[in-house]
Amino acid sequence: MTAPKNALILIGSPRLKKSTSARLGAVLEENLEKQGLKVSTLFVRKVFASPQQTEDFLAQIEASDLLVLISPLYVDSLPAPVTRLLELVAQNRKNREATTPKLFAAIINCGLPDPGQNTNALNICRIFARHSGLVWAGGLSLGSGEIIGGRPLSKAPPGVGRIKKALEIAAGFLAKGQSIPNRAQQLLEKPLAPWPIYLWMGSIWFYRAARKNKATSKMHDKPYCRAAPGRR
Amino acid sequence: MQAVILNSADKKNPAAAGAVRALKSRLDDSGWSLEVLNLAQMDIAPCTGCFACWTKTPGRCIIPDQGDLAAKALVNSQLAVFLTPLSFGGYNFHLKKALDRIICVVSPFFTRVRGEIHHQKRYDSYPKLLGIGLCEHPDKEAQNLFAALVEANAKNLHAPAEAAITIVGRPGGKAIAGLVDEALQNLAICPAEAVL
Repeated sequence: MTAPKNALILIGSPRLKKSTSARLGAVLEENLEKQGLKVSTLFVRKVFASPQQTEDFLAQIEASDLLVLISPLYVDSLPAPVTRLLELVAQNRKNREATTPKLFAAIINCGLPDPGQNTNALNICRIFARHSGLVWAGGLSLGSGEIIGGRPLSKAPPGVGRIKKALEIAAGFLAKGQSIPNRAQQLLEKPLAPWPIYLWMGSIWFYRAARKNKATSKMHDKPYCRAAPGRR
Repeated sequence: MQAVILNSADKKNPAAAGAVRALKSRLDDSGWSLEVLNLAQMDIAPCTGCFACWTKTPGRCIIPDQGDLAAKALVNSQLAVFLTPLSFGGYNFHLKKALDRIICVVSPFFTRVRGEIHHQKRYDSYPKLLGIGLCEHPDKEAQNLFAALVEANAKNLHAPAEAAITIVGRPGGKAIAGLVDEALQNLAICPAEAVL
């Protein structure tokens, strides 16, 4: 496939610039630019802010040679606004005449340690590409995403060096019009931290956040239980 | 016994209407109560990923709209049905909006479920899960993905059992009822004699 000249990175997290997805996007953008591509970044949440923004977005999709979705995993698949966006793009491209082929790749990150939990979301992206006349260029799957915790990768713990390397490799291949190779994913397979420590730290984080909100005593509440409000 | 259908299909979708009719009939015969939430007509904003439902108002989403109805119905049911047009093998936007908002039904803390790490239970019991996907044309890849997604959700939501079926095209009521019957039997919801 011809090497793309420009790329559009779509950030799927509703947390916008402070999200782990945006931080990964910043590193990918830097690497794609190093390869000579002109790169733009869009936040999916903002695409639906007004009909004009939606229209501008669709035009931008058509003007891009390479599309990369970077998204968190929500309940085993893509967040609702990302689903809406993919539905919109597929609908818009349905009866479109064949144009220059566009590459589509996806990078999914989840809070749980096992990157394998992102598989269904990546498969949704692959089928979306098929339905939309895009060339699937593969994906990356990252577990333990909360280690980045919305910080720039330069300020995240040392283990994230492997994430940067994986993004660099991915950018190199995408810039040549090729699929992301397995060796980029292999760098993400090994846990960024031993999972018992990661989960313990996660629990502490949730507990501290609840303490800040004076809600620690309510953390095990069952408010939606109809039989007996409170605990069941 | 209580069941809820989270229906994200358009009102005019004949396959969805057929599936709701079949479920109503079978569950009625077995003495179940059924609630249907038509998600496309409900006011449900997307999840903002703020974690307030775990750390500020535990168990409850802070967005003041109809998003809590799905969570409430889910934890008070013994069967939850996800009825959705397939969107690239996954759930469509309306169902996904509702599901993203139900993470409050589990705890932020962790446990192992079927060998994988997931969040702990918040409630003592959770419903069995039946996924019903609707697609215009056969698409094996999308249909297999839908089944895998329902299985993953079942682990996440601590469902004691799960099943997934796909209704392709616009089959008649009898064919839809047959698929629904088989799924309910697989979930041990309706005894075989009740659906014959």
